[in-house]
Amino acid sequence: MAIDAAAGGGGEKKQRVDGQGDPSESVGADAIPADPISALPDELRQRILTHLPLKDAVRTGPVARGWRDLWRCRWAHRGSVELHLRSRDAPRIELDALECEPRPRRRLDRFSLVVDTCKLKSSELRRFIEYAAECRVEDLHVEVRKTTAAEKLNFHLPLASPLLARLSLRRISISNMYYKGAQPFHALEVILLHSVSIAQVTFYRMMELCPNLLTLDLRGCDCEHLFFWGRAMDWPAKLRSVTVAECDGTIKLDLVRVRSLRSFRYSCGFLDIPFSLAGDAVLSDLYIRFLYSSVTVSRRAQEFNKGLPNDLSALTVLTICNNALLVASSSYDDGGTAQLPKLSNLHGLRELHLLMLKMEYANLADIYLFLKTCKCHSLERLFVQLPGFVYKSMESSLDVVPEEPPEDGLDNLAMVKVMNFNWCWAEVQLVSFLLRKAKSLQKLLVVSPNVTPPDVPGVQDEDLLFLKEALANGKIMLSESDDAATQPYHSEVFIESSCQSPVGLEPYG
Amino acid sequence: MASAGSGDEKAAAAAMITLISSDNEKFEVTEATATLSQTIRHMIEDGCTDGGVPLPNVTSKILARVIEYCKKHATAAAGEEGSSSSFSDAAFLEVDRAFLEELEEFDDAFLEVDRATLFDLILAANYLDIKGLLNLTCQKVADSVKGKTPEQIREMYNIVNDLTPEEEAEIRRETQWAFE
Repeated sequence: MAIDAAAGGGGEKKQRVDGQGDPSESVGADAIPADPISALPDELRQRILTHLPLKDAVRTGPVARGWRDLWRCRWAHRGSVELHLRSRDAPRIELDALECEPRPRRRLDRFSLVVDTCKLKSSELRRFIEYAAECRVEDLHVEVRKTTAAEKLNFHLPLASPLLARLSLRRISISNMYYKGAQPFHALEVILLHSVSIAQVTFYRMMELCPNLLTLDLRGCDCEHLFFWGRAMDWPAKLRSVTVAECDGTIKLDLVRVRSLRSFRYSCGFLDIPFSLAGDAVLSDLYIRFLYSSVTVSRRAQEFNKGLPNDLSALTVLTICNNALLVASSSYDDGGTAQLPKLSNLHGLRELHLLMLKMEYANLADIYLFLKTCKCHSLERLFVQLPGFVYKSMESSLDVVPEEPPEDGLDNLAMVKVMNFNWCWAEVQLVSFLLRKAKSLQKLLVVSPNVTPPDVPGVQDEDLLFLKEALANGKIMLSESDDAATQPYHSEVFIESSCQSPVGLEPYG
Repeated sequence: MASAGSGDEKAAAAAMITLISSDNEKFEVTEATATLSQTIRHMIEDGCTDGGVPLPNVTSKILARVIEYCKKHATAAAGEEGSSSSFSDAAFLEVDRAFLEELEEFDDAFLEVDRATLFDLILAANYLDIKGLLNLTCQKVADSVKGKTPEQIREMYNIVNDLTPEEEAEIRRETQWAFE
C-alpha cells in the first residue's frame, strides 16, 4: 500500500510500477491487502458510512466483526436522540435545549420521542417533529404512553424529513390535515403503526405519499377505519412485507393486488379479518396465527386456502400457530373437486416455527398431520414454542395420539429448539419422535423451567426413558434459560410475554 | 512530470512549493495548489517548507494524482473568488455554471481508477487533509456499497466473514427493518 507505513510499504511498491488502471494489479497481486476496505482506519470507514443512507449503513453491520457497530458511531456527534418525557416541565426543557443547537442542524440517524406525561401540547409535539425533520432524521419513533394525551395529539406526516426511511408511531392520531401540496416521501420504506388512530382517507393518502414503501406493519389498529369496504386501494408498487396483528374490525384484508408481496405476518381473528393475497405473489416468509379461536375446518379451510398465493414452494420460513395447523393441512372443496391445501407444497421450507398455545395429544396429532401434508423435505431448523404455563392435563401416558407420526421427511433437519418444555406427555412424545426420526440432527435444545425430569413412580413410559437416556448421553441440551444465539426468524412473535419476550422490537437494542 | 502545471500563467508568478514523495520524487506546485491541503497550509504558515515538504506517507504515483486534483480545484476556487464580486452579472453566472460542469466531469474522470488507487487516494486525502478529495473518494466507495446486501459487500471487497451464523443472525435481528 502506498501510504500507511505500518503495512510495510517498501515491498509493496514494486507491484505498482505498471500503469494505473491495469486490471492485473488487483488480481493476484498478493502485496495488496486482501481486504483493503477493512484495512482502512475506523475513522475513515465511518466517514464512508456518512455518505450512505442509514439503511445502507446498517447493512454493513453483519459483513464482519470489525464492521458490526461501526455504523452506530458514524457521525462525529451523537447520531441518535432518545427522549423520554416524564415530567410536566420536560417538553419545554428538552425543546429549549434542542432548538438552541446551531444551524444547520446536525444529521440524525434516529429520533425517538416517548411521551409519558399528559402535559405535552400539540404545538410542542410539532416542534419536536420539526426539529427532527431539520436534522434530516432517517428513523423516527413517536410513542405516547398516556391515553389522555394520545387523544389530543396529532402527528403530521408532511412535516417529516425528506430522508425519512422508517417511521414508527405508537398510540397517537395521525392528522388528516396539511396533506394538501405534500411532497412524496421517496426515502420512506418502513411504516409501523401500533395502536394508531387514523382515518381511511388519511391512510390512503399516506400510502400515496410513500411510493417506495417496502414494509407496512399494523398492530392493534382498527382495520375498519383503515380499509373501506368496496374501495380498492392503490398499494405502493414495491410493497414487500405486510404485518397485520392484533387488529380490530370486521373487514376483508384485501392484498390481491400486492403482487410484490414477499413476507406476510398475520395474527388476527380469521372470522373477523380474513385475508386475501395475490395468487401469483412469491412469499418467502409467512407467519400465521389466528386470534380468539381455532377456525373450524369445514367452513373456513376453503377461504383460508383461497386467501393464500397459489405456489408456496419458494417459502423458506413458516411460523404457524397450533389453531391454524389443522386448516393448513385440510383438503378443501372447490366447486366439487377436492383440492390439496396450498401449504402442502413446501419444498423450499428451511425453517418451521410452531407456536403451540396448547399441547395435548390432539395438538400433537395436528403436528404429525401437518408434517405429513406439507412435504417440507428441505427443513433444516425447527422451533417449537410450547405453552408458557403448566396446565393440568387429563391425559396420561397410556392415551393414544389420534394420528400416526410421519415416517420420513425430516432427513435434513439439523437443529431443533423446544421452548417452555414442561414434561407433559405430548411434549415428551414430540421430542422423542424428533430424536428418533431426524437422522441428521446436530443440535436439540430444550429450554425448560425444570431441568430434572419428573420421576413418576410406577410409570415406565418408553418415551420418557428414551429422553432421559438422550439427556444422559448429551444428545439433548437442556437449559433453564433461553439461548439468545439461536432464535427463530420470526423472533418477534405476537404472543403475550408469557411465551417469550419480544426480541428485536427496538432497532437500537 | 514534476513541473507539469508550470504552463499556467497565474502559477508562474506565485510562490512555488516543493513536495517530496516517499520515493523521493520532487513535485513543484504553486502555493494556491498546495494549500488545498490543510496539512501543507499549516506547514506554510509555520514557515517550515524551505527545502521542500517531505510526505513520507505518499508515493509519487498517488501524489501526482493528488496534485492533479488540487490544481484543477485550486483554479476553480480562484475562479469562484473572482466571480463573486460581480455576482449580478448573468454572463459570469453562465461561465460559472459551465465551469462547475467541467469540474464535475473532471471529478468523474478522476475517479476512474482501480480500487487500490482509490483507497490510496482516500488515505492520502486524509493525511494531507484535503476535504474535497476525501469527500469525493469516500462518496465513490459509499456508492459502490449502496443497495448491496452484506453478502455482496463481502464479495466485492474480499471481506472475510468472521462472525458465527448465530452472531450474524443476531446483528440482523437488532435492526431487522434494514434487511427486509
